[in-house]
Amino acid sequence: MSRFILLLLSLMIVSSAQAGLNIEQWKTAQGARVLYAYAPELPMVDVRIVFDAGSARDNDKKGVAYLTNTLIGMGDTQRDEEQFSQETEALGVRFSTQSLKDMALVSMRSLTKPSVLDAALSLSAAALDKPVFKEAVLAREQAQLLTALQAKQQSPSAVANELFWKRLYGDHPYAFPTEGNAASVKTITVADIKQFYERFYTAKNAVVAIVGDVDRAKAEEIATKMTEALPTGEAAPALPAVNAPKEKGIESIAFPATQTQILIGQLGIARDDPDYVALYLANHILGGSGFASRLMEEVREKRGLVYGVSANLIPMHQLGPWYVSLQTATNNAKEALKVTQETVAGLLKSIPQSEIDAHKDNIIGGFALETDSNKDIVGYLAMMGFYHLPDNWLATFPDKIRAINRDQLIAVVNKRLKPLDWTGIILGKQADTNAIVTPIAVPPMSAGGHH
Amino acid sequence: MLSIKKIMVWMALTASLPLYAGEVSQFTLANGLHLLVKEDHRAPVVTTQVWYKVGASYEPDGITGISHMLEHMMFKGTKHLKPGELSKIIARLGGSENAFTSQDYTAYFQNIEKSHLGRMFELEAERMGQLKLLDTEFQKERQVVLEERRMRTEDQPTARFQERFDALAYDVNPYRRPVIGWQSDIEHYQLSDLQAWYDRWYAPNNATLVVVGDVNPDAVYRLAQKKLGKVPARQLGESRALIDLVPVAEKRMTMIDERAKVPSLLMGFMVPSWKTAEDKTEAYALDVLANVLDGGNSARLSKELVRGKQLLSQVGAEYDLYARLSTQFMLSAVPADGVSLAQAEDALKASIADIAQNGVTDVELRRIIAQVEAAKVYEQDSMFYQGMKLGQAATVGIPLTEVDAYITKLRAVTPEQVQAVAKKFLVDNRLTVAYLLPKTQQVKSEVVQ
Repeated sequence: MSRFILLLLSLMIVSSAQAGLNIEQWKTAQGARVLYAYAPELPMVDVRIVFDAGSARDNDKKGVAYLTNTLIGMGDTQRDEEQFSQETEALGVRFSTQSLKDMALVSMRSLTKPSVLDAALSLSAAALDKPVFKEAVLAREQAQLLTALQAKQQSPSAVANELFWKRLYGDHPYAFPTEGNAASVKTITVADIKQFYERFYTAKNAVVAIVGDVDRAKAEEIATKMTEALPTGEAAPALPAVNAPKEKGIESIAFPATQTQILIGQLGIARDDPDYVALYLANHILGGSGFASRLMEEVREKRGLVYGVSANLIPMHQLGPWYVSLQTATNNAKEALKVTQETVAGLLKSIPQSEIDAHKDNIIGGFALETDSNKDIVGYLAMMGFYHLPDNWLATFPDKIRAINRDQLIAVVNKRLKPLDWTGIILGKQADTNAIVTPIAVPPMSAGGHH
Repeated sequence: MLSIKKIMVWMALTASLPLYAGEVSQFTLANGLHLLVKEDHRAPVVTTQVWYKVGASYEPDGITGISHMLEHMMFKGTKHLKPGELSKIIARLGGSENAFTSQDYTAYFQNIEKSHLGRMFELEAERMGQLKLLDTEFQKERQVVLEERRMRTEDQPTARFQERFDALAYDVNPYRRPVIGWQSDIEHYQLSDLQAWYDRWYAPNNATLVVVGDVNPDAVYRLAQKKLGKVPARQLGESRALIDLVPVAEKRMTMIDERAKVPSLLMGFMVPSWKTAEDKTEAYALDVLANVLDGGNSARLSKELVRGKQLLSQVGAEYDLYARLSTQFMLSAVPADGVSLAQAEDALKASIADIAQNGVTDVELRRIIAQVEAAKVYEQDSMFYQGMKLGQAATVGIPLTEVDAYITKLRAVTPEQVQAVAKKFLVDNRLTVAYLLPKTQQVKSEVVQ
């Protein structure tokens, strides 16, 4: 039991770095981009390969990106899945895969003593570059995924989350759950997996991030080994732009739970947008910083209506979402929603200089914590490479926060925050649409004005 | 004069590790506060953690969850700080903070740039000695905790299942109560209950302060003396003998749940932890046994039951070596589609019987040692986790020399010892079996059986 749940939004959200962090970047002969940072303190290395092969690349068979990613490490031209897991685990190597909307990730952590690392690299490279997709393995993973999808329906927050993305994104690829759905998952064949793999798991569609006790020469060797057997291929084309949601306002959905889930929001921002840093600061003030944020103060601290409430700004290839999520007892739902909407709209009314200063201090002062582990650093490197951010993006983040003045912040909030356009879902018992207040309109602040 | 007791503990180091990685300095302040410092100079940051020897397993019936409720109130005002002010101060300094409560401990932490360590000590001293419990804050925070319980337990079928499993499996043993407390207990705490709990357990002589980061141990000690040395030691509540009864019969339950969508199986065997084991090698053998069953993808349960026979969709085995009291050796599973819970139970029992009859292999033991050796390096990537390990051991009462010797102790475990603990402890009279059935599947499952 914890006082509050730390928001583990990892590489999607926060940012900054140690001043000393030196990032080197190059391309392999096959065209994979590599980002590397030397961290000699511990005799270990983290290697992460990221492909533009998340569920946004699913075709009509939703879930194909997820299953392709899952099957990496379950058999290749040199070993079957039993040999692979036995050999990696006998070395203490950790190999894992993960599938998001934008990205597909393959991660490997190993000790750097040569007897371990060289074997770890051959094992991982074969798993990634030369997979063999077998009918029997796919069938088993499909069955497991169907059970997991069913289990997901037990979780009110998972159900609410899925419905919110659907409502916000309509027919856009971001609308669909990463794992697909029961009907689509059943139709996926080995041929579908192979086709997806061949198109998207290519060198030019890959970013390799390496952090650890390996010098530049060894890092080059790692990057080459991990990707040299991949076809050169092509980078994936740009995803379609996101259209404004068709449905505004809040949809009520009945669900048997003691709490009502509320998710409301709008389209947010793309990762490479120049407004990102200012909007990050605005979201930090609104609800991105735990107890320091307005939403936590208003909804939890003053009124005791929730355990958790947060505002989430998720920058993606295309416009990611900007939304508030909370859960509260059925009888509190109406009040909690009203307070939340007022707090969101309140960001357009006034942002005092003192509040801006407090949040800047928190972000800048907490900068060193963001990259105090190899795990954090490899995540940032992978993210920066994936979204084509400049090498100094991380190191200069605190300066960029420091440089935002109040007028600029207000201008960005006025331009971006549109409470009247907010859409969302409320999921729980007695979910009554009529009882719900409509979004609150507030005239924009004048940038030079008083508060 | 403060008595200075400094003991250097050397973590078991592999030859390739830099020396700074393993050294832990121990101090005790005159007021009884135990201080553990571990240097980690990779980044200019520090994690500071205050661990109190109190948690749910210390609680009497009627006020279950009071340790956790008090943890929430520790942010809600002191003699010199308004409610919420402590969090605002830390945020302004760029720190992140939180707290957590378990069966065996309650802990508070900050991760922050190293120059603010003294300020963190001041804040912890303030709430260690001068908490001010306000009824208006308490009434709001009680609602927050009830929301937390709804979120974590009431609306999660598997969490409600686990809670009832624990109540059955531990029967009279202290771990039977949920850490967050039963709902009706949360609804009926009095402010005086919180005050009494605070007075009884919150004192420097019942706490361990753990600091890991870019610091000098002697400087940390002097800083702690200055900032925390003045919190007065207090007479602690009476320590009573703990119930540690071995169950006499197998117990079973079937929970039919309207909101569950997939069936689930829990099996637990009451076993000693390191702390309660008469023969400590048995505790290490149980730890190895859990890893033979579920120490990765190549471990037996995944290999044989998820991939081989495909009877299970998910499976896990777990043993808490460092629990303060005797614990459950847990097996959990979600059956594959079309497989009944009874079939899943039989399959898990067959895996255990196989070990009891035929033992385990050297290959399996070597795999476990390799994983543990690598994990020893990997865990140093997280200052917070390093602090957790120290704080937990100190609070539960495991000597740090014992924690340091973990790999050595595991290496000494033989296949015969693993087989012997499987035979001795994974037996029917120590077993609790629980089935979670979705209401929609109730009829179907009965037909299958």
